[in-house]
Amino acid sequence: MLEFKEVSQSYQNRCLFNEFSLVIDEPRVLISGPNGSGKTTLLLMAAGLVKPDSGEVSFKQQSVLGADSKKSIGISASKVSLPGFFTVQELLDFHSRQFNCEVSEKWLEQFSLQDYLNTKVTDLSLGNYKKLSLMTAIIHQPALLLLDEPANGLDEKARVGLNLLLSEYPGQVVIASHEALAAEHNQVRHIQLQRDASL
Amino acid sequence: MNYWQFRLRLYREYLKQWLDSIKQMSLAIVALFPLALSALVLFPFLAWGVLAESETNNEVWIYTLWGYLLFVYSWMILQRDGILGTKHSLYINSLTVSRSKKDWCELGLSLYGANFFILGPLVIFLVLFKHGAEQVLHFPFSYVIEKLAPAAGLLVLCTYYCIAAVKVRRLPFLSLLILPLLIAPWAQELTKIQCLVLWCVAILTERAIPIPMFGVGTWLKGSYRLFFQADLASPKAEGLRLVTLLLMLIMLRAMFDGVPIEVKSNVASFLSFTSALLMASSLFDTQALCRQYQYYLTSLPLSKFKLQIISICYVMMKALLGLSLIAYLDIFDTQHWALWSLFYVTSLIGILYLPKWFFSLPIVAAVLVFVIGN
Repeated sequence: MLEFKEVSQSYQNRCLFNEFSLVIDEPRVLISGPNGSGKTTLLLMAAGLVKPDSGEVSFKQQSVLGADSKKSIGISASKVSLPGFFTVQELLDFHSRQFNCEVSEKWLEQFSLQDYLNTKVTDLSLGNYKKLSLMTAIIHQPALLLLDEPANGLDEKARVGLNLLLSEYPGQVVIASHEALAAEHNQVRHIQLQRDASL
Repeated sequence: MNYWQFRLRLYREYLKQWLDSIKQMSLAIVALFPLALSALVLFPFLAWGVLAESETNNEVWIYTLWGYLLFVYSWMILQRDGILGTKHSLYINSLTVSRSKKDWCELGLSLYGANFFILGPLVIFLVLFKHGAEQVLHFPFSYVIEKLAPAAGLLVLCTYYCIAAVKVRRLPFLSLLILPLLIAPWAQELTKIQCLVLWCVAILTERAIPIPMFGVGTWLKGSYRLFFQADLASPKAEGLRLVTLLLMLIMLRAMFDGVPIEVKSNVASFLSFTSALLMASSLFDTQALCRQYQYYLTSLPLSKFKLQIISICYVMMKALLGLSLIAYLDIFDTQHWALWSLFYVTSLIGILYLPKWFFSLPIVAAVLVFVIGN
């Protein structure tokens, strides 16, 4: 269960969230809202990458800010830039080593990344970069998967892979997107954010 | 506007942006070391005097030649993107200008960029040549050649490195690092002409043999690998640091000849301070990398504290290369090594806790050492 407890967050004097509280325990959640409503920030806070000005964010009753909690959280977001100087293979090796897990051949194939293993991350196209970002998010099979606009730049085959991932993934998946992704899943909860930081 | 004027304009625009970007750093250096700028301006004049003189002590001559060529090469490397117009290369290639015209323009820009550093040796050579031509009637030809060789060698090597820095992608690792390091201790056994011949052989060899490739392999793991690969991908900062250290060491090694021992000790103490500051500043780059990939690194199950410890260990490992050079050139004694360690640790602490005023801690340490020492 992902929980935001009286969270406040501002950016350059603009209040994004003011004592915002939310409990998410559905397996699939879609967060939508206009540009600048705080969708990405909400995901970054849920992943423990941004510490809120006040309040607390926890997953399974454990604060998401601790290093240990990262083992149960995976995030793919354009704001989480991947080290561009690595090749895809090197990044996957580094990443899997950090999480003490193996790279899944199945997802490599699903996202058609095998041909780019020796390509530098910085030289990847937008779509392939997105696929790699998704791979790093799911590599350790986290209990909470956070995806920011996951379909951006993906080709048809990769979109099929993404839909497969969303329907098969055993953990909780929270998506911030403009598109109606995961809509086919049985229990999708829709959360609509407003510009004034309310639900 | 013709093609030459266009390329000159591109070069000048690049220089303008480059100067703007280093203005702040230069101000900091001048504020920290007020004599740095005047020393930098005086360096070529002093070097020309030493290098053109055939009677100069061979060891001093080798170190000065090495320092001068390294300085010129680095100076040209810094201007390479402006001379080649790298930022606008696609547009330049789309123009209907012949290859030879493009090459001539780039050669012209290289000489224009090196102006001061190549004009000096040229003028010295022409003056000595004129003098030598008059002497041919009164002295044996071999004597005249021996007198002219240092100035001619300086001019040829200087011209080569100015052009190579722009046109040759591979680094002169043999001629500007390994060869001078190897021959400097044996300088007294060789004549200047032999040294110059060896230098030319090193240049030809390094251009002919394949570049040694040091693959990262799998021996480096985890966050060390992350830092190491980041350095390999953007080696400019570390390269500049190494060249600066080398230049400091070379200049000191050259001036150590005939200097009283107490002066040597004071100069070595100063070097322990500046080199510690320079090597510790590598931590800035590691911290900048952590900031650049802040979100990604935070998403890993790795605490901030552990990452900081790893980055400090990595920076210390990198310092070993510089320390090996200092040890090889035999500049420090025990007291200077102790001072270096003190300044290095205080600089690291300064960078971690007072990044804007990181040099204040080693300065306080230096003042304390000075007060206690007296």
